[in-house]
Amino acid sequence: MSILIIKPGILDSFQDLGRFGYSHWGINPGGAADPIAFQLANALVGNPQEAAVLECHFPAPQILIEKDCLISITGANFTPNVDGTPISMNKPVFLRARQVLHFESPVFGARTYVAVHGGFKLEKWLDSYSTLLKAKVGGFQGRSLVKMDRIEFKESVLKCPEMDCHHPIKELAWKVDDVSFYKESNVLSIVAGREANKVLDFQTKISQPYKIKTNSDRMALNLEGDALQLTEPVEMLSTGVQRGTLQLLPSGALLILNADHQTTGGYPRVGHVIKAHWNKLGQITPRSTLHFKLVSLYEAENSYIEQQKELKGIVDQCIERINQWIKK
Amino acid sequence: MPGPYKLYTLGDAALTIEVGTDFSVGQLQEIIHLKNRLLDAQLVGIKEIISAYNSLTLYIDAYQIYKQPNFQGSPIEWIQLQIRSILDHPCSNKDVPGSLHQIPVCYHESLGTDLQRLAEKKNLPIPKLIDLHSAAVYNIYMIGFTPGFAYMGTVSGDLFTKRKDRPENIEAGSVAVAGWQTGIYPFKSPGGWHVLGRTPITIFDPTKTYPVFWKPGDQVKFVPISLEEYHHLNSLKHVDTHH
Repeated sequence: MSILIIKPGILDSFQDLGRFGYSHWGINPGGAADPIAFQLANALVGNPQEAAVLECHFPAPQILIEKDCLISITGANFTPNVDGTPISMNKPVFLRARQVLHFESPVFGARTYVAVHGGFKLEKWLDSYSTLLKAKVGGFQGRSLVKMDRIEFKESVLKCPEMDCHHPIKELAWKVDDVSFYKESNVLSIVAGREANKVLDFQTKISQPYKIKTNSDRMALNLEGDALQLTEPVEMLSTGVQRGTLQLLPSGALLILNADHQTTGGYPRVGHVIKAHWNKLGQITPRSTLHFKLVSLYEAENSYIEQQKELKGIVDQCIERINQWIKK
Repeated sequence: MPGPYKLYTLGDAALTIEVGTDFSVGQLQEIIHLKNRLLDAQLVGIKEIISAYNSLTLYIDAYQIYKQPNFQGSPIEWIQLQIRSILDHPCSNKDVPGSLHQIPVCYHESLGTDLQRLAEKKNLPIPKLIDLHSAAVYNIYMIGFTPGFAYMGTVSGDLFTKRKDRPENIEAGSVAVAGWQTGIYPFKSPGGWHVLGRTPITIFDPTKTYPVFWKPGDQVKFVPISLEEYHHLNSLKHVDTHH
């Protein structure tokens, strides 16, 4: 049994941590726009990090639960509800068959993640569950979910606890605190890029607030602000590019490459969002205001290592607790 | 002689090895060879290696490097040292054999929607443009933009043309030129290149073990076909994909 999409969201796609090793075919890694929320979602339900998780934007889908299951919701807070009753985020939550999961209104962030214990039953394509929307492959039929899509769960031996009409939802006792991962959510630390020194007055210019344009998506965030100027024309051959790269367009506008960026690009690279802030990058919403903070490469590396250590600690604890609970 | 290679970081999660400032066939071989050597070395913390015209870009995971027992200092500096030692180690046998792909292209004006404009701009008859484009054997320097999109070069000087100022919608299979490059659009997508024709060949097929049949370093020769042959081959393709 499974979940059934009663009403689709604006973009609901299955993701994992990405598809690596296929750039010789021009295939980009993709993967969850917020890798931290993705990992927390899996950890809360006791899944390995290779399991696929549903990534939803707002408006988010209405989902009919067709079998008792243990789920978790992480990342953006879209006020998740079950049949009108609010449920907690960042917690393992048991739902029953015939309940409907829906999302009321966006409170924080751009993408929420829904994981189910045991994982969704999908086929991997090139070692990954991530949906490659451009090539219509991966995830569930290579596309965003539509009405009446039914996605099966993998086999699970988990027995759901007793739930009755007075207690139709059971939340387990522990919760993950994700606050530290989203501190100053609209401030992204960047390391100066290869062509930053060719931008007139770079340090001042990059400190201005930028507005996120509405045509921003999983491929790129388009920024609105004072145009940047080059001190000399830059002619460059295309090179490999990565998530978080700030590209300077010929118009003087900036864009930030997001999860579904292409593998190569030829625009000047004026900065790179540090890897420890990729999760915040994935949660930035159109129309919001964004600030950049220049940091050194060492600070960037340290932030990432510290973040990964913290994440690993939380993930290990989650797995231990859920395994203990299952054994009981 | 290997190198001299320039290494520079792209933030804390990527590293680029620049091989020269321009591109050439010899350099292309060197880049592919270098990529293979780096793959063979199986360095911990390298998640992806992207080859481009004159560079390789490596995606780095600093935490993977940090977790190694003998690690010290800065992960990206540490991996740079390891890469340096691979690059500086002389190595013979640089030739990496690539395949030659013969790609049928219909240069009919109904499909080559920019043929007329380009002929006028270049003051050359359309058959001459077609001859120029289909006579050469092209090298695939890079695959990017979309899955399967091969950047091939170099086109004859008479075909050199700047890309369009505004991208237009381009049909899947369109064979186009821009600058010194030629390529095929695997998907219907916006693009700024000038379309000379269309191929009935499917460039990207996710149902195949090798969803893209070419890779950087391969060679491509375009073979002109008639509109009838194009439609015939296209109809076979549709039969094929339904099974």
